[in-house]
Amino acid sequence: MKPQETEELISRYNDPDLSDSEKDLMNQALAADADLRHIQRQYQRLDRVLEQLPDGLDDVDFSGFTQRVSAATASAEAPGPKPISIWRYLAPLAAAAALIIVALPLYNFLSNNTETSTDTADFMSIVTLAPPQQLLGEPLVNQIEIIREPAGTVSPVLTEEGGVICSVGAPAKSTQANQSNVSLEKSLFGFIPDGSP
Amino acid sequence: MSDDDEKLVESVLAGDRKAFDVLVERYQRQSVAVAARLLGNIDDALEAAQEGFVRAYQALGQLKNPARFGPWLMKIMANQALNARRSRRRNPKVSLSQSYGSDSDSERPLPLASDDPSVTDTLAAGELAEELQKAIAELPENLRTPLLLFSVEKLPQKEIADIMKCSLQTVKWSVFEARRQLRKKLKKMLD
Repeated sequence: MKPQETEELISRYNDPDLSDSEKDLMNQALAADADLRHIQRQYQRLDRVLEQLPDGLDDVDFSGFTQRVSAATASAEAPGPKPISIWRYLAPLAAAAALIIVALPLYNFLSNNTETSTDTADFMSIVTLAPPQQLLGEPLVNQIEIIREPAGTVSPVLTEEGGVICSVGAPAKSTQANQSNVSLEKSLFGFIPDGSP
Repeated sequence: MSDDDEKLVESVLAGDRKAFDVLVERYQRQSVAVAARLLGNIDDALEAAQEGFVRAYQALGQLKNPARFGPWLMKIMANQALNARRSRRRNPKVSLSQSYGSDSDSERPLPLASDDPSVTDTLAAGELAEELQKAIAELPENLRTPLLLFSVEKLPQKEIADIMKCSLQTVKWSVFEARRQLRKKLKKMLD
């Protein structure tokens, strides 16, 4: 701590806002330094004299002052009852509404991003590929089955005909995301993955 | 006292003007003292304090916490005194004071030291108080005002920041710097 900072702390030794940590710091500094203790005693004396400075009002006629204030307030407009502020009641409602407006899209966003979503129609396209002996030009895809599965749970599986069942593309999302996956699969296989030509 | 203040404020708002007279009697000396510290003379302080009480009376309905009438009133008094000080600077030839005591021809400055022997029970203490008053008068205004309001009139620093329209940190620094300069000037007398 710099010397000026230490002196500032010491000068505030009796201030009501001195925190416990500041008091500890101050006491540690004082315990270690006799010069600082001397400075503290000077500040203590200064504060005592400041508190005892006379207000110089012993000769003032305060009863007369009271009468003059009373006469002045008699001619002044009387204070009305506290005004009822409508905002006192609207403010909590406005805060709640703002919270809902912010929270709802966030909730929806987080819900859509979870992979275990069910009702938003996360699904995978399972494509059964034709056996390798089929010539080019023939449809390579025998069957496409759309199932509801979380991503990554379907491994390639050999069919009896020698084809392969495997997943194609990422798990499809509802609406827009589904459309983009569908169009990708259409471009690969020349048909829409739901089995229709 | 704050519970009592609360009841008195509620009574005034209900139409009992005499309840306000009680509040005036309770806080008049402190009000005039705060104004006098800022204005440097008693007569201007009395005028400012009277105006401050009228403003407080009219604005009483706006006091959110009636139990804090005292600190709220001191803030009004300090603002009133500062406004009077600014007005005095703009019109130095116009006297704002009216005399209320027997000495009607001159403004009464604050005495340098009290005659009360309980306060100045030794000659050294009296001399220190006198030198301290002089040293305070020599401080720049931006240090003198927060020092007097905090160390002498015991207003909270947060309220002083509101009155002076500055930050709390500025008030803390100003009070420290004022104390530091006073200690430096009066070092020998403080030993």
